[in-house]
Amino acid sequence: MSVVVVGAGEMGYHLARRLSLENKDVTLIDRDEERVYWIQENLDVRAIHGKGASPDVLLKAGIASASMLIAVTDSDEVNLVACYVGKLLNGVMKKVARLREEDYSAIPQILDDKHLGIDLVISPEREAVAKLIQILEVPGATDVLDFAEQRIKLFGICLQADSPLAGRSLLNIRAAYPDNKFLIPVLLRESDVLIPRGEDVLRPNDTIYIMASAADIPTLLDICGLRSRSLKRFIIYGTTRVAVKFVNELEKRGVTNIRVIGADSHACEKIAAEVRHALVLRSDTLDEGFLRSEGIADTDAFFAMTDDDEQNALSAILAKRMGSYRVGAVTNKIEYHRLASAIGVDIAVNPRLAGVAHIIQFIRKGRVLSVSMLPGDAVEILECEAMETSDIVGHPMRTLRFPRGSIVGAVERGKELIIPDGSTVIMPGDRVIIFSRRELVPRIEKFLTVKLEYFG
Amino acid sequence: MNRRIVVSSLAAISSLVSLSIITAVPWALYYGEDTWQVLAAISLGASIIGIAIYAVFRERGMAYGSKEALIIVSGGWLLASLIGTLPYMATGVLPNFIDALFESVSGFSTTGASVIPDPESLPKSVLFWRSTTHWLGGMGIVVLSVAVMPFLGVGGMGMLKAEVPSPVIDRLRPRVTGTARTLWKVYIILTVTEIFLLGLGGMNLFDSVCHTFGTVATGGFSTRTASIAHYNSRYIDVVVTVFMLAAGINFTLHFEALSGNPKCYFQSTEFRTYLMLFAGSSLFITFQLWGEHCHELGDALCQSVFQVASIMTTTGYVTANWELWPYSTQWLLLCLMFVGGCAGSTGGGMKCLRIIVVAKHVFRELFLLVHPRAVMPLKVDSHAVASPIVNSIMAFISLFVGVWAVSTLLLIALEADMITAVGAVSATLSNVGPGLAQVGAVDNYAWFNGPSKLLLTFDMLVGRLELFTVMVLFTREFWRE
Repeated sequence: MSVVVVGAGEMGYHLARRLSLENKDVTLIDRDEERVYWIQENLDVRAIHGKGASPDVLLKAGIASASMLIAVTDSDEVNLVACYVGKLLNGVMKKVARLREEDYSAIPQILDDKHLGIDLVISPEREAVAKLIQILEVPGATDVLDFAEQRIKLFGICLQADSPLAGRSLLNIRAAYPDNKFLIPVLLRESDVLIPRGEDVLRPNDTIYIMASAADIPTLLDICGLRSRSLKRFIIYGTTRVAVKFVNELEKRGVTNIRVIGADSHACEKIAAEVRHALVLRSDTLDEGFLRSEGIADTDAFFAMTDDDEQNALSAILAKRMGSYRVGAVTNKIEYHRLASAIGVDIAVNPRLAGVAHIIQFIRKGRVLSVSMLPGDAVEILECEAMETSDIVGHPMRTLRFPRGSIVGAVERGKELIIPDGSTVIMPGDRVIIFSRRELVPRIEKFLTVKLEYFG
Repeated sequence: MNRRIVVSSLAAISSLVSLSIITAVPWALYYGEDTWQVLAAISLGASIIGIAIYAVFRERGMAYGSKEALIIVSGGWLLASLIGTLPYMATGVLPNFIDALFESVSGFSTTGASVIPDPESLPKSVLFWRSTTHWLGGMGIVVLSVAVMPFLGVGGMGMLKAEVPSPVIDRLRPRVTGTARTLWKVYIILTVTEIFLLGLGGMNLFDSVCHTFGTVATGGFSTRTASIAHYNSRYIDVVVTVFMLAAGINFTLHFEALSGNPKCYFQSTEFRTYLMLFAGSSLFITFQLWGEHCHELGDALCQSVFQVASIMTTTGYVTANWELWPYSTQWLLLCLMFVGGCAGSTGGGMKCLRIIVVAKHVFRELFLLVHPRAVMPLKVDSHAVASPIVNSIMAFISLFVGVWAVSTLLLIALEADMITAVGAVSATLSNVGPGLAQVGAVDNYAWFNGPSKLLLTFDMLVGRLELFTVMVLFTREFWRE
């Protein structure tokens, strides 16, 4: 399958990298000649210099035989025109466009087949805010992924030295809490992603991922030694689109005590007009005195959401020092995203990465219901329905020759969540959630006799 | 530098080269030679060792940097050349290691300079291996490795750049593996067509396969002492000429033509220059030969066309002893050795594209003397050539001349006379094969002493890898951690 990606910014670059790792033919188009040259050297993709909406350039990129066009430049107009031109040149191809402005939602027919024919509209800002809300719903979590229509959650927490789980092996933990259904399928240790085995011992500073029913989460948080504290007082630093959307979402959920700090007076006025209760403050710098006077010590959550990654990281650390219970930062560079937890930022969200994840999910099809990625994209999580013909059905788990580095995390049968052990037998129709290192995914496919096919 | 990646990639490339020795075994069996056991043993033994080393050192998600790519390509060629000596030494054809290395590097670098005076006396299986080294080296062993082993493709662009003889690489396909496969497909189409056409001309299968390998790789090893002249057939001369010329053309153009756009040839400035140089030189030599050396115009034309094509594409097949020709024609042939084929072809030398860029650059400098404020991008095919590429081409030419001058000096100091030395160094650095005087059309390289052979071996290798890839290994910066 061949994919044409317009725009080689952070999003385009990471999409191209992901797809090329999966042996897809990717052609990238960008206006910046040096960027094109650099990508040509560093990725196994073809990069073309030119305007993304130009028919000539699109034809040169092989649009006529492509199965998908993904327009992710910074400009909504270029993305829309690229999709339109693409539609005229190749009628059967799927089209994905990144749109920042929400204005288009007033006339939804613009996206349908008669007009632009865009199959998926992606807004990184909206994705990022959705991800943040998802994370905030599990107090104390650094990352949250939903499965089975939110009935099953996978959440990441960073183990403190005083956590009751630190220093214990998984077998030990399982034995200590026989009544609770949960599984620790993945953990992040320094920069590695590990799929732990029973005898592996958890260490302080590991980020462990716990999979459980949504209903059991409060008890599990107790087990982990996390007091669940509901978040009521927020300070948001920055007046970007993400900040505005985030404030709106929080207000929709009934949070009234929000302070927004911005440096630019126009931007402050604009955001003040858009929010309902939030207090907008204008300040050039984020100094200690100002933060203290705004009550940082009693704040439940501080989020740094400016355009500047370095400023976001440093101000989040400052807020944490000064007593904010949770701190979060928006990162724009994907390299910084992985650093966030190491320097003490509890929650890091990257809008572009969130956008990329959504597009990758869209690209997958077949009987796989969802595919998610963990940080560093070394591990993929596949959610699928076990078919009668599949090799995993009808045998106890211990007799299955599952490749090392992959594990069946959970099985949902009807309304019941089963955390599988060696004797579990998967029945047809069960919903199965599998964790696997990315390079093993093809072997898992064979097991499932489900092809992780792409469109086209 | 990531040593695991370097070791595992080198092991993968080596096992592929070792495995290809097995293709000589059927010929040994067919001709009833007892070499087949030795060849099969070397091939399987070496490839099993290679695969084992690969299995131990391989890593998930290999990430290459430019350093790794450079060392993998240089090291891969060195290892391939060493593995290539095994069939010569184990069968006792060339018991001396330096001779075997010379013959092996000459094969892989598609030079065609030989230390074997009479190929007819050799076992057919060893002759086949000798020609196979040409064929593998022509499109490139790294390109082949990337094509058949996709896991090398992740950082493959750097390796392709280090191996493919061209200042710029066209990506024929979005992925490196796809690009490598496409190049090999074009190469295989050329090969199969020529084998068929030579067969029609009455050549037996063995000879036509070997000569085809020598032609499409622009190598020049023949199974006959007298080279192509042995067949004394105008049909065979014409077929070989056409395929030598085709092998000297940028393979991107062949690919475009095969995909249904044959007009692309004449849209390329480089192709037009290549063809004009070929036609002009052939005409000049024809008229120099007509009368004194050849009584018939047809003979003169046929000999000059074949020889110009052979030298210019750096193949080195021979139908006439040009040592007996007028000096003006010998000098012209020597100059053509430097020009070589087109960029992105299997030919050696400096490549037409670089000559064009240098010529335009010189013209631009002259123009700027008259109009100091003129803005003049250097254009080829109505596209501006970026100045880093122009600079790199100028550096390439300087380095080429430098290596050429120093090698010639060393060779004269070691043993040769001046004309022989100039001919030998030019013919090896440009990967032609036969040179002038004592290494001329009907001579060979067997009489050189060990150090001279090593020097010429080095020239062949750096010439094939277009200097930079090998020479960068001699800089201190490269080895600094």
